Amino acid sequence: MTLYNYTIKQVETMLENKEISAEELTNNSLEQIKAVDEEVQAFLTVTDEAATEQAQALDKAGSYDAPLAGIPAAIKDNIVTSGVPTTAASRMLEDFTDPLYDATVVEKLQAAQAVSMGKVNLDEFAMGSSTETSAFKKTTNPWNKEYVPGGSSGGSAASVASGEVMFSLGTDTGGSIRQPASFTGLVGMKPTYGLVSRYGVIAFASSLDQVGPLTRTVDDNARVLEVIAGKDERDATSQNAAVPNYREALKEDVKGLKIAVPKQFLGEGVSSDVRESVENALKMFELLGASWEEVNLPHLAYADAVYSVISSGEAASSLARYDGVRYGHRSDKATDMIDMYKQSRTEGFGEEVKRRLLFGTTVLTGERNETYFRQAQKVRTLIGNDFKAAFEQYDVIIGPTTPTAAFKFDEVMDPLTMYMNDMLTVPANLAGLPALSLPSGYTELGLPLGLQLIGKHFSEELLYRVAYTFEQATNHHKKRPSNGGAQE
Amino acid sequence: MNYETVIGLEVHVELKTESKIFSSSPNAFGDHPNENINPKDLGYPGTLPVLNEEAINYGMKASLALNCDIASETVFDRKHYFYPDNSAAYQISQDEQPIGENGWIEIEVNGEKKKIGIERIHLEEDAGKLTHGADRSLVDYNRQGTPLIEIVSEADIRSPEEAYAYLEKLKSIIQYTGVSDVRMEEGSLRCDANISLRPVGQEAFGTKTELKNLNSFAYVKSGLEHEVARQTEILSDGGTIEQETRRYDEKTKKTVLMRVKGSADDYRFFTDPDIVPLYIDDAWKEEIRAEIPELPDARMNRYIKEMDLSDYDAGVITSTKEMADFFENTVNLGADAKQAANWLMGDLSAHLNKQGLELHDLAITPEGLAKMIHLVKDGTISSKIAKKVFAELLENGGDPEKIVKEKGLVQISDEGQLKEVITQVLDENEQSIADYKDGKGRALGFLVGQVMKATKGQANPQMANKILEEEINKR
Amino acid sequence: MGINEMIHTVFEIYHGGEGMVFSKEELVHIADQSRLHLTEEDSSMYVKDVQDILSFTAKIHEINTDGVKPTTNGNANHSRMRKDVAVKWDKREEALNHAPDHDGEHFIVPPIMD
Repeated sequence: MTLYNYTIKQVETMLENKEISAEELTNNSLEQIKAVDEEVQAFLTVTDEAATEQAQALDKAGSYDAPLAGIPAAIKDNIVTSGVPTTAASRMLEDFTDPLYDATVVEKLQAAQAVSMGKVNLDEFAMGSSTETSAFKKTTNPWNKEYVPGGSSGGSAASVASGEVMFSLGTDTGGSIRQPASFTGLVGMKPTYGLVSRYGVIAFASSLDQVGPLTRTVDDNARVLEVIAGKDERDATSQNAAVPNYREALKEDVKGLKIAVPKQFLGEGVSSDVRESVENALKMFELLGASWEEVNLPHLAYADAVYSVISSGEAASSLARYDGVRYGHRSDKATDMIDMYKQSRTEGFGEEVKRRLLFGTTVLTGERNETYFRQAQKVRTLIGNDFKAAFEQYDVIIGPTTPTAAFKFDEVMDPLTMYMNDMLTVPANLAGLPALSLPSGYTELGLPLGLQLIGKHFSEELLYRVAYTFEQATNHHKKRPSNGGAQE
Repeated sequence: MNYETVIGLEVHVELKTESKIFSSSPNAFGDHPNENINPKDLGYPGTLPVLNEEAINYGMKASLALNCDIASETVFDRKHYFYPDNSAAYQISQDEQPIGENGWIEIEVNGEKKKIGIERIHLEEDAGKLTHGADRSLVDYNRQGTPLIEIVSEADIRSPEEAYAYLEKLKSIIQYTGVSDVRMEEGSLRCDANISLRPVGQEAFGTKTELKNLNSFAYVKSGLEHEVARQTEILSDGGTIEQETRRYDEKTKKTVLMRVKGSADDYRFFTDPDIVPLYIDDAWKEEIRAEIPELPDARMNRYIKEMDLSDYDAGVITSTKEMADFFENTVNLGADAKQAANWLMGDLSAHLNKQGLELHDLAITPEGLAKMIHLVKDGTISSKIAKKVFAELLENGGDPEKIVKEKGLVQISDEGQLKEVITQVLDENEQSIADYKDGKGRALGFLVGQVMKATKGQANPQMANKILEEEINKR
Repeated sequence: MGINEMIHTVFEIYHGGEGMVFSKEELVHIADQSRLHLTEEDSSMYVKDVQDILSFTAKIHEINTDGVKPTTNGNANHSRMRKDVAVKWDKREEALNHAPDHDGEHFIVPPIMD
C-alpha cells in the first residue's frame, strides 16, 4: 500500500481489523522516504530504529485505541525532541544532538502513539518562505522539483505531500504552516494563539509562533489538532479553554454562513490564477448556501510592515541566547569572551537570520524602540480591532493563502519580495486568530493553490466544518503530486 | 561653598521561595556549582518562563510592608545584555510597571525622625555567578533565576548616616515580613548607591556617581563618606564630577573608578511575550496584607507603652523579629519584661556576637528564660548563679530548675548553715575584721567574697551580708 | 502588478524618508550590539537591506496611535502562574557535557576583558 492513498481514519480501521500492522505502516513510510527523499530532501534526521521499535511494541501490545496509534509522522526540526538532534536547520545547533527534554506537543504525540519518523527541514530558525535558508539542504516541492515547497515548514509540507508520512507538525509565525500547505496541496492549520503549547518550540517570535498540523485532508487535520491542543502549565501563554472534539465538527453544512472577503485579499499583488481560484471557491460556497461580501479592514495594509518589525524585534531577542557558552556552536578562533560571542554567532547563523537580527536589533535600539517597535505593537492592536469588528458581522474571512503559487528556486531574490509573500498570512498571526489553508485548485503548470479561512479566536470547529464542506464538494485534494505516492 | 549630599540607594533582596522565579529549580544557597539548574535556567531552546506565584506574593508583601501602592496590572520586560552569567541574554525584569511604587520608610538619626521615599520596587530574576581567572572564567547557574526585588529609594537621603539608618530599617522590615534572609554576607541583600553633591540651596541635582561592591552596611557608609570627601574636594577645586561607576575598595576604604557611563547602555527593553500580564485584584492584595506581621516600629512603640521598656531597649529588642518574638514569648510566660530584655540584650547578644550565631542557632527557649527569671525572683538562685544557669541554657538548653538541682546551684538561704560558714570565714580573717572596724569599708566586700567563695557562690547575698555584719558586730 | 513592481511602488513612496538615515556607522554599532562580525561586503549588503526594510515599514508612521494600547502578548486575558514547588533536574552531567567547554562543575568561557 501507499500511505498517500489513505486517510488516518481509514488506517485506524485497517489496524483494528488487523489488515495492516503498525510495523508495516512504519515500513511503508521508511520505504517511501528511501524512494523519494533523495529528491524531496525533507528529512534532516530519520529515526528509523526508534520508529520500528515503537511500531513493534504497538503491535505486540495489540491495542490501537490511542488516537493516532501507529500513524507515521514527521516533526519540524525546531520542535525539541529528547535524544534526537534538534537543529532548527542552523549550523548553530548542528551538534545539538540531544535537547534533554521533549516539547509538550511531542509528549502529546507520543501519548497518542503516533510514530515519529524523524525531523524535517525548515528555513533556518523558521525564518523564510521557501526553506531555502536551511543551513543543510534544499527541500523540493513534490509537485515539481524545480519549485520550492514554501516555508518555513517546507520539510513538514514536502514529507506529507510526497507520502513519506501521514501528517507532520509545523510552526507558523507569519504563515509558515499555511503557505507551504498551499504550495504543496495540503491542509495546514495555524490554531488560535495559545491553543497549542509552545513549550519546546524553538522561539522565533514568541507573540506570534504557533504549532499546527499539516495533513492531506481536513479530517486528518482535525484528528491531529485534537491531540496536540490544550492548556499546558509549562506555557503561560497557553489558553485555559477545553479542547473540543473537532471530528464532530466535520459536517457538510455552510448554509447561512456569512463570509467576508477583505478587499486587500484580492487586490494588487495577487496573481490572476490565485484570484480566479478564490472566486470559484466563493461561487461554490454560494451554491452550498453561504453568502459573501467584500469588506474593508482599514489597517490590513499595514500588517506586513507591522509583522516585519515585531517578528524581527522579537527574533533578535529570542536568538540572543545562542552564544556558544552552554551548548551549540562555539568558534575556536576567539581569544576573549566578547569575541567568542561574535565569532560563534557569525559562524553559526546564516545570512537571512543575520539580516533579521540586525533589523530586529535596529528597531529595538534607541528611539526606534518607540517609533518602530512600540508603534508596530500599537498598529497590531488596531489590526486586531479590525478583525473583531468584522467578526461581529461575519462568521469567517476567506481569501487566498498566498498571492501566487509556489515559485522556482532562486526566483525570489529580493528579501523584501520574500517578505511580501507573507502579506496574506501574517494578519492572522498578528491578531492571534485561527487560520487554515486548504487546496482550492491548480495553476496551468499544475501547481497547487490554497484557500485561506480565518475565524475568530477558538473557532477551529467552524473552520474545520467550512473546510470540510468545501473539500467534500471539490476534488482538489484527490490529485497526486508527481513525487508523491503511487500514481494509481 | 557648602555642599549638600544627595544619596539614593538601590537595594536587591533575594526572595526565599522554594523554587526559582521562572523555573522549578530549587532556589538554594551554597550547593555545588550548577546543581540547581534545568533547561530553562540554561536558556535551552524552546524553554519558557512560568511565573512563581509565591515570588509575586513575597514581592507584594515586601512592597506593602514598605508602604507602596501595588500595581493592579503589571507585565514583565526583557532587559537585554550579552554576558555569560545571563543564559537567555536577557534578564526578565519589570521596567514599565513595577509591582510596588510610591512607598516610604521612617528612619531616625540623632534623635530626628525622617521619611525616606521609595520610588519603586520591582521583581526580577537574578543572574548566575562568574568566577574570573586569567585565562578563563567559570560559570555557575545556580543563582540564575533566583527571585529578586529591587528597591529603589528616592534621592531623599542626605548623609552616609542616613543611608546606614535606611538600610538598617529596610533590612529589619524585610526580615519581619519573612520574604528574605536579608544576609549581606550571603548576597541575599545587595546595595548600590548613587551619590551627588549640590550647593546648599540649589534645587537641581549634581552629577552622580554610582558606587558598587558595597558588601556590608559599614562599607556603604564608609564608601559614601569617602565619596562625599572626594566629590567635595573636586568641586571645591572648581572641577566637575564625571558620571561614572566606582568600586569601593575594602582595604583602602576608598572608591576607585570602574567605568565611565556611556550612552552604549541600551537594554532594548520590551515586554516579554512569553509571560502573560499579571492582574492583581484587591482581594489578593488584602490577603497578602493580612499576612504581614506587626512591623518593628509598631512593636517598638508597643513595648515602650505597654511593657515600660526604654526607647533604646525597645529599639534593640525589635531590631530583629526573631529577638522580638523571643522577648514577647518570654514575657507572655510571666517573666518580667525588663529582666527579659536585659538578659537578651546582655549575655545573649554578647554570646551571639562572639560566636557569630543567630538566635535560632541557640538551644535556649523562651520557656527556659522565663523559668530562670522566675527562679531569681523567688530567691531560688542568685543573679550571679543565674549567669551560670543562663550560660548552660545558651549552650545546651533544658529546664533551669533541673540545671539548678543537678549542678547543686540552689541558693543557700538557711540561716544556720550560713552562720556556720561565716563564723569560719571570720575566724580566718581577723585582720579584715579589724580593718572594717577601722572604717575601711572595702574589708566587708572582701569578707562577702570569701563567703561566696566558700559556698561556691550559692550564698543568698542579702542574707550573707546581713549575718556577716551581725557577726562582726558581735566580735 | 507583480510583487516586485508593488514593492517598488512602496519604495517610491517611502524612500528618501526614514531609511536614508540608517548609516553604515549605525550598522556597525547594531552589529556589535547583536554580537555579530560583519565583513565589508556583509556591511554593504546589510546596510542597504536594513535601510530598505526601515523604509518599507515606515508606513506604520502614517497611523495615529494616540491612546492605543500596544499589543505586547499573543494573548492577555488571563494570569498564569505556577505553585512554588522545587523540582531537582537529574541531567546536570549531560548538560555540562553539552557545553563546548566545562570542568565537570562549571561552564567555561574565554577570559573576560573589560
